[in-house]
Amino acid sequence: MQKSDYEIIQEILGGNKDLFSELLSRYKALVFSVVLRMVNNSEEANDLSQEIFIKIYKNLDKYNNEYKFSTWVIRIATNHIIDYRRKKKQDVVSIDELTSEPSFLSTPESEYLKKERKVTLNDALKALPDIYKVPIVLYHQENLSYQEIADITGESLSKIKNRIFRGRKLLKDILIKSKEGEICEL
Amino acid sequence: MNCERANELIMKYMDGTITENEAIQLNLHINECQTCKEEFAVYDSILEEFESFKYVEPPKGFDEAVMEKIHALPDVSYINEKSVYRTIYSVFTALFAFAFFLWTFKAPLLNMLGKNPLFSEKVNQLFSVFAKHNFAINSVNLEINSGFNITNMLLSNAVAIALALLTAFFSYKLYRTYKYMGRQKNKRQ
Ligand SMILES: [Zn+2]
Repeated sequence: MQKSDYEIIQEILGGNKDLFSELLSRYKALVFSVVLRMVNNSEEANDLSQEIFIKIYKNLDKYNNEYKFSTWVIRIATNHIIDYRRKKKQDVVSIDELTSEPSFLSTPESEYLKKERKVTLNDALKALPDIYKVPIVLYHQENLSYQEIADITGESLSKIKNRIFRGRKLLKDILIKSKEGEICEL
Repeated sequence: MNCERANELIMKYMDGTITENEAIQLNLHINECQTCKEEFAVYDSILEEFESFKYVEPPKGFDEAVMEKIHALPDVSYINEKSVYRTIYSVFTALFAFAFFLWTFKAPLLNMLGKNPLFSEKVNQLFSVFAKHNFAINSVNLEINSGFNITNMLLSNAVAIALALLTAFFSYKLYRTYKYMGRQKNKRQ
């Protein structure tokens, strides 16, 4: 029978370091996907994801099994990305810089889509400031509730709601403007 | 319906909380208002694209790189608050339960020990201490309360009750550590 996350965590806390690879294989795609949505290239996303897993390992004893482990993982990932980006002050990016996608994401299909519609959702997302992008990704991509996002980011529920609404409008504006062939800067 | 209301309904649509009646209203407005129609199409495409999203695996060698870093780390010492509290509560529960037992059965226990030649001397000493103690209380009681030994009885019971309460308290705390494993809210670091 497959071990539950909690059983694995208990064993790691008990000294079985190697078992961490099991958590890695379960959650690396989740972490990498969230990070990739929030930063600009795959190399950066790779480095950040590694740092996030080190953080997860170091803080494993603080995991509270009242939450789903995936929610806790997203919390750590999100906070790590926010801190990282705050340090880097990278919130303003022009659409032009963004149209080059990570190479391993470029399938023939996505190449086609890119030509068809110059700016994809992913590009538009990257142009969004963190305060909008983070809740939007967590809500629409990770399917977290407003309350869970509020818990993760330490913001109030109403603030999160407002930011998701405002973020959607910004996304829509970017996508409409890009269709009209304008270069959009936020 | 005005565009502002239409926008609210589009947000509800995005949240998946729009009612059937609201959807009909929104539809009516969209058929009349070109701006809202275009906006709705973009919003819908955003939603669609999020729904078609698939998780992306990190590049090859990711697991190995992380595991290597973890093995290179100095051993992380996990101080598990829960287990610290659990130990403290178990020790106190056992201690008070044992004290309660000793106190309640002190007479038969001392009697039994008194029969053992190894302990008889010590026990006899203890007996004399108890006897003096009881005598002191009795003599006070005799003065206050003509012969009826309520104070002594209460005193003896009070100790037993206190010990029982302490045992119950710590076993309850112990139980809580299992029931609510670390209910502390994780604030952002
Ligand atoms: Zn309208």
